[in-house]
Amino acid sequence: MELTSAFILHQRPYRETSSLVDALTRDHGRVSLVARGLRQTKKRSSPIQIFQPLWLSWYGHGDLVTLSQIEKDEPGYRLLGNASLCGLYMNELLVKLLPVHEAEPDIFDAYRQALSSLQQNNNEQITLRLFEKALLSHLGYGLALTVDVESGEGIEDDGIYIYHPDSGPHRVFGQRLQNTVSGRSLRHLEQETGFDELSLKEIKHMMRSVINYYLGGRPLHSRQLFAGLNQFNTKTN
Amino acid sequence: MAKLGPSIDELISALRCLPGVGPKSAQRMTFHLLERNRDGGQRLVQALSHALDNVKHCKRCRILSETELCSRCDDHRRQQDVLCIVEMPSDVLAIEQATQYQGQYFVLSGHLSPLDGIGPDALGIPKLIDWLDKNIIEEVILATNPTVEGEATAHFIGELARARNIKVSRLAHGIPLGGELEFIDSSTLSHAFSGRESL
Repeated sequence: MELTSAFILHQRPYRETSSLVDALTRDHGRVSLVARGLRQTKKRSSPIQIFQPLWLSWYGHGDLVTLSQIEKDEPGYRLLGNASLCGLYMNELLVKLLPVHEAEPDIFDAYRQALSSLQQNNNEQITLRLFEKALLSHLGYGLALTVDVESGEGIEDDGIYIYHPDSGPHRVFGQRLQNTVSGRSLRHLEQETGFDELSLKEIKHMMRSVINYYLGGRPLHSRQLFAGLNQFNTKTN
Repeated sequence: MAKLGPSIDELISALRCLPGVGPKSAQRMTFHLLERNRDGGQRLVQALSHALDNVKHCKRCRILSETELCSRCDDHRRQQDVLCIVEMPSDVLAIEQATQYQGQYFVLSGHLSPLDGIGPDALGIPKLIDWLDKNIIEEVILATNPTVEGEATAHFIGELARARNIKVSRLAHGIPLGGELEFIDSSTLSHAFSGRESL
């Protein structure tokens, strides 16, 4: 087969010098590979890392194929500080949500764009939310952001809604409920612009519940990293 | 494989728990021990069971140790206010051999890896925080590997230390001594270039 554009999402050691690799490829979706001898250090080349654009090819059939060729494309994305934790979060999301061998070039492009945006230190919250939105929509779980699914009316800026992952926004009146999202925040997410602190906070909670729904109860460990950072720091302060 | 008897088969399969030992090597080792070196086998049995009974992790730095505190943590002549954080016990030995460092160590036994389910708790971070909170630490030296996961781990611990007003430093990335620029891989060279020092 021809070389295809790819990123490694995760690798773990297998036998003495081999690795089991989870890769996101542009033309074949997510692929699990056995990479024989990948951990053997060759002179003049540094080991393959995540966030590094690659060219890959493999042979074999079924869920686990064997890596035949691997080459580095342009320089890898260098995520520093919090951006590296965000990158690990995106990788975990992809491994847990993407089925194997389903080509989805748009997801690959969205991932690449998000990495580049994280590298440039753009707002991490916005980058992650837009990536999540793109990922869900290309997986076929696109968000409904323009109409109240109960009444069929358009979303109003000052309306308060509850977002049901399987249907969409439902308007609620009067009572103060947990996990609501304002029409204004839904509009920001729909138009992908105008975000502020309040709308990002609401959208984050809404996205978390939607993603949890599709994860079907499996935990995201990288989320605990962010939580851990806050928790360990607030204990003393 | 032809069956030679349950004890021999059991020994062969037990030896395969060692890294780098496959069925063939395990068989060779077994025959060697049983045919030619029974004394060596006895010694191995005693050394192994003695070590398994007596070696634990140091209460403070988590390195392997026969005593509650390892010899480095127990040595009061070492600096008490500098703490070097490494991924593996072998990193401690490497730093000890290569440098004049005279401070304390903390061994994480790995790095953060959400997809393997390794979070802060598995790396002993609560214990580390306890240490940072209860002792006067002037500087935390982050000596995790220069991989993406190592950097993420360093960042995580760095944030915790910074929140406690502790100076945080990270090992430099650079060109190996005696190396030639032409032959260095591009990512190392670009790190070395962006991290250049003024003279």
